[in-house]
Amino acid sequence: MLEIKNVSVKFSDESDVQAVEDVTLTVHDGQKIALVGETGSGKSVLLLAILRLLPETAIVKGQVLYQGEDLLALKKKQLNKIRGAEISYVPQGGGGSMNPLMKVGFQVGEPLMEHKGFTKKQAMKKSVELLKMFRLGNEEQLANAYPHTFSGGMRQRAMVAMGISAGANLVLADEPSKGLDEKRVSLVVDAFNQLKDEGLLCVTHDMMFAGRISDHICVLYAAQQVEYGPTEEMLKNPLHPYTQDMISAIPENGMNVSMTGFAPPHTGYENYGCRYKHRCKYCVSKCDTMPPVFTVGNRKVRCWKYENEN
Amino acid sequence: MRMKTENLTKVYKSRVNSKENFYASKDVNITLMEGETIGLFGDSGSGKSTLGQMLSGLLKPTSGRIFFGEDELKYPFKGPHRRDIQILFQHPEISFNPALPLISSLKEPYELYHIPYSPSILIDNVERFGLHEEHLYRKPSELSGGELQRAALSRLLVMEPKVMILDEPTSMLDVITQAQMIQMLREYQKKENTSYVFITHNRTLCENFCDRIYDVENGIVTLEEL
Repeated sequence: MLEIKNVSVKFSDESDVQAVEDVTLTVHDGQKIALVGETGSGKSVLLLAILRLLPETAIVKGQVLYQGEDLLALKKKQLNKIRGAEISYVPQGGGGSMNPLMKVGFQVGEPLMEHKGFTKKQAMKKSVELLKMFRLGNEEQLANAYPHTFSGGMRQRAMVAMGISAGANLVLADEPSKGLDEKRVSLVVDAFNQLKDEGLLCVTHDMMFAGRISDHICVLYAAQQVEYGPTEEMLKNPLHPYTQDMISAIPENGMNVSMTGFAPPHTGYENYGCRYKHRCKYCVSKCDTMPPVFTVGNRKVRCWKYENEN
Repeated sequence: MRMKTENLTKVYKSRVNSKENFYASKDVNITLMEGETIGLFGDSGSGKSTLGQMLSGLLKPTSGRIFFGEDELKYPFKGPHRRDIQILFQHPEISFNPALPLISSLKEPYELYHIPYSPSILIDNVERFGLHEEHLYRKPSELSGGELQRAALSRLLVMEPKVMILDEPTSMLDVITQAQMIQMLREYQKKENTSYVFITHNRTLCENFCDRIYDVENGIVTLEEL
């Protein structure tokens, strides 16, 4: 459905810093993919690049094919027909992303009026149904309320409702669980699990959340893809040292962590080699050269450890 | 006994009906021993942060008492215990003046408490937290959340607090940085016998890090049975 081909993003021509570097990823019909990585790894920028929501000055290379058409090359008018109607976007931090002056029900129904020719009345009715799907409680009344009266978790769910209201085939979501307490995270998980035939590409920093909503995980580190594979297998048996460290650092797994390195390197260094080398317990001299992506069974990993399993 | 509260209460008047009271904290009695970590666990809006702010002297209680050892602390905290109790916030990016380079904010405790200062002392201090000299000349917006939170922790420890209120200090960080922060706090506690009040909504993290857990719900605080 969506093919991301060798997408790279830079924010300025002079700067050598890469925000996203050579990412290739396919979302098939109905597939749920989580993009996992830490702050600054480029995951949100990738989502914005797909929908061309980055500032004009950003330099995006590569192709994003949706049903065979390159979104990066489409005219604005054609793109607007796809945005919202076929590919929807659930922005980060539900709070600031809603219009404070409009009723929630109206905002949830807006894509329907915009893309499906619904009248305001029909759209409001449909948005109540959608809110019911996400079990907000007392939906008729909430549809007529303004966003500030909602809690963070309610807004997050309303945003997801908005994201799927016009029957989009593909939902792109950015950090829908950030800052929410566990009960509210579960509600967002439930909301996503209502998606059946729709594709999902969800950015998150939380591996456990990724495990609950996705069938495949793509791990980004310092602007690059470092691992890709089925969710269950990856959580059970992570291949890349970064994924391994991330999983053992989860409180549930005892928060075991090495204190050798703190942050990823500057992504603009030439000939730096593997970007995880200074934090990696398996680092060898070969890691001074950037490893390519190796295929191990049905999984992909960017680490020299797997060279001979290619 | 390092700290304790007696019937600590914070009441807000309802803006709609002034006869209605909202209890953000109600008759809270907690104790904190030396070298101990207690958890305040609850959902958002349960009153955890209100309690943390009263304990660190940032918010005036409506009634009730706070003791540091034998001494009663009155809002706003004055005297030596003001330095003894420090707080680390959830959002590191707003814990620093956005207009100033990091070094200006990190210098403040040295000036405030007349602690011997030189640039090299400061650099030595931040290097223990994985930051370097070049970070010091950047503005907060040019650093990551993890870097800022480590800088905030380094600034706090300069004051050698005896009690640290940790208000969700890792909830905005990725798991590796979170685990590294927790590790640093544990090592520091072992060395200095500091007491921590750890505020969180993450159950597993709370169980993993805390010696005793208080549940917070609608402003009411109860000690969990072990």
